[in-house]
Amino acid sequence: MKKTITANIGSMVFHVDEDAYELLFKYLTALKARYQGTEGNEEIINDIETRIAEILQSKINSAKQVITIEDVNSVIEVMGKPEQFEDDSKGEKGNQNKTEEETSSVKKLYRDDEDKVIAGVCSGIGAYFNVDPLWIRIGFILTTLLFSTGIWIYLVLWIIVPKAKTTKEKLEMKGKKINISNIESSIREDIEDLKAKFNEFKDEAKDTLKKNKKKSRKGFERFFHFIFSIIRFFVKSIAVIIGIVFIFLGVFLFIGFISSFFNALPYQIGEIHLSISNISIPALLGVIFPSSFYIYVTIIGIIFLIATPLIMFIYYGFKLVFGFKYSNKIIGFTSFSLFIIGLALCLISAFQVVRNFSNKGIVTEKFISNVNNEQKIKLDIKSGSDETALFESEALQLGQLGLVTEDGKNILFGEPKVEITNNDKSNEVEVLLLFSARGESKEVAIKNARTINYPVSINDSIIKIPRYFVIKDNLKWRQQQLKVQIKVPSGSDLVYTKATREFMDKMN
Amino acid sequence: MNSNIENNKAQMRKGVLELCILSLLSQKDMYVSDLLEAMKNSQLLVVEGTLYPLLTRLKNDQLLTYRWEESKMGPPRKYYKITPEGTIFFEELKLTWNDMIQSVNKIIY
Repeated sequence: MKKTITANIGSMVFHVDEDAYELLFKYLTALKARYQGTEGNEEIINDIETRIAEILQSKINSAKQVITIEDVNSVIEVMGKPEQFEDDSKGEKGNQNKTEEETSSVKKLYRDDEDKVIAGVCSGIGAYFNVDPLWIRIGFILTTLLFSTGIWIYLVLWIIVPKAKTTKEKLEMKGKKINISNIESSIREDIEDLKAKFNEFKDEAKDTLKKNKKKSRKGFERFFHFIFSIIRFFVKSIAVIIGIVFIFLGVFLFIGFISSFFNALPYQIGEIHLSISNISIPALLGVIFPSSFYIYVTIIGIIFLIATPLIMFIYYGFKLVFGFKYSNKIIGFTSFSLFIIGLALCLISAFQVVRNFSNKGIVTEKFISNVNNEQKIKLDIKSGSDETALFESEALQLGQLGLVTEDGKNILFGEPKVEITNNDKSNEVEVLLLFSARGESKEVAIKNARTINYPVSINDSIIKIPRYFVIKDNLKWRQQQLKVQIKVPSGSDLVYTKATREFMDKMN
Repeated sequence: MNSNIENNKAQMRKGVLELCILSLLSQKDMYVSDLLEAMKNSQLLVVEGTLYPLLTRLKNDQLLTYRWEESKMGPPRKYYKITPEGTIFFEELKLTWNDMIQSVNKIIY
């Protein structure tokens, strides 16, 4: 329930809320002060009052009979504050500074439709930061060269930044430059505001001590108002900080994400390496998926799935920092849909991968050599030192296999399982290789198992086997495994080289 | 620097606004709302409040006059009408304006 006041505005009768009445009264008083001493000032005020009455008349109907503070605010917006009037009545110079201050509180980012190349984003930003749009455009082009980041940022800004349509918006757009110091000054304004409120409260408190109870209740209200102002100030500051963190994190992750699509530069901050390997996402997908079709499906899926939330992240960051209230259900809905589509595409691909792992195929190969009784047999497990270094340093783990890139070519590799048993039946050294892999059918699985490359040599009593098996041709990751079974005649001793011993120790 | 530009713009708008009011009123007599309606789409009017001091000044300069007309909707309305002096002034202003546009455009581009 609210108290209303009956007011005569421009010879019409209105029921006005108390707060609305106060605001309107202040507004008209300010107007009167503005035209004090101007010829025909009363007439001007009367005309304005008549117009206000007309606007207010349009805001009431049988359902809404009372003028609220919102109505008065919208009237003031349409009519303009006294400082915004552009006329040559006296006191122009004196008021000029005031005008500047007044408009300085309004600073908004818009797209400039009148000076546009694509959508006016750059010229809008240029107006916002008070720099030549040309530099902004160059900046966008340069960042576009860096993993196309510029294009994405541009698209986001295109969607979220409103176009300057009305004259008021166009003036706001060009109004006052905005930079870090202005953001700072806006926060400082808040602090000043707070101080003023505090002083007000202090005075009020003094008064209350002297005066009656009714007044003290008002002081109490002011106290809450003051507390509320402090909270509001902190919330605002925190929002700006969170927003900045959002933007930085978002842009950072986004650049990382985009760069993972290209043959991955191992980017670095100070001493911290952030790259896991030098394998790009498309290269990795190429190793997993059976056809390029599913690679594209997955890439699009991943982009939607990861880029959409990141862009929203950056979007909310900007929203928090610049405090624009432009919100659009379409943005939320679109990004959510894209996210779901991305998820669906990834699921389709995942299903395809599962299908490609459904059957197992095994291929065997046997090497035999006759040895004399009680002859020493030497087992040598080794690989070239270059290979070892490559495999151990930059491999991307895919299950038990590792993926590396060498001279632009992808290589899968893995360690065999070596088992040593006694051969009681004969004087033969036997090396049995069991290659296994998976595929969508038994035949394909066997074919995949055959892609494993593992050269074994047996020379009399010396068995040489490689440290790693590798897959170089027809490269697909199908959980390839290799078991090496070595059967040694019971009478013979098996001798390890140093590298072999290390390998065997590590394996057990 | 910035305030200068704003000031210049305001000055320019103000001059042109007068011309527009006179032009509209030379076609027919108008009520303030009609004037506002006619100018709404142009970017000349930042806030409505600008209009009233201007109308009063033009009236005081005897370029305009007005009459009261009864309205069904509310109190009587002020209808503005251009005076003979106003018409002469407008014609002159229009000539100056056209000349100015031409010469300025030659210089600017």
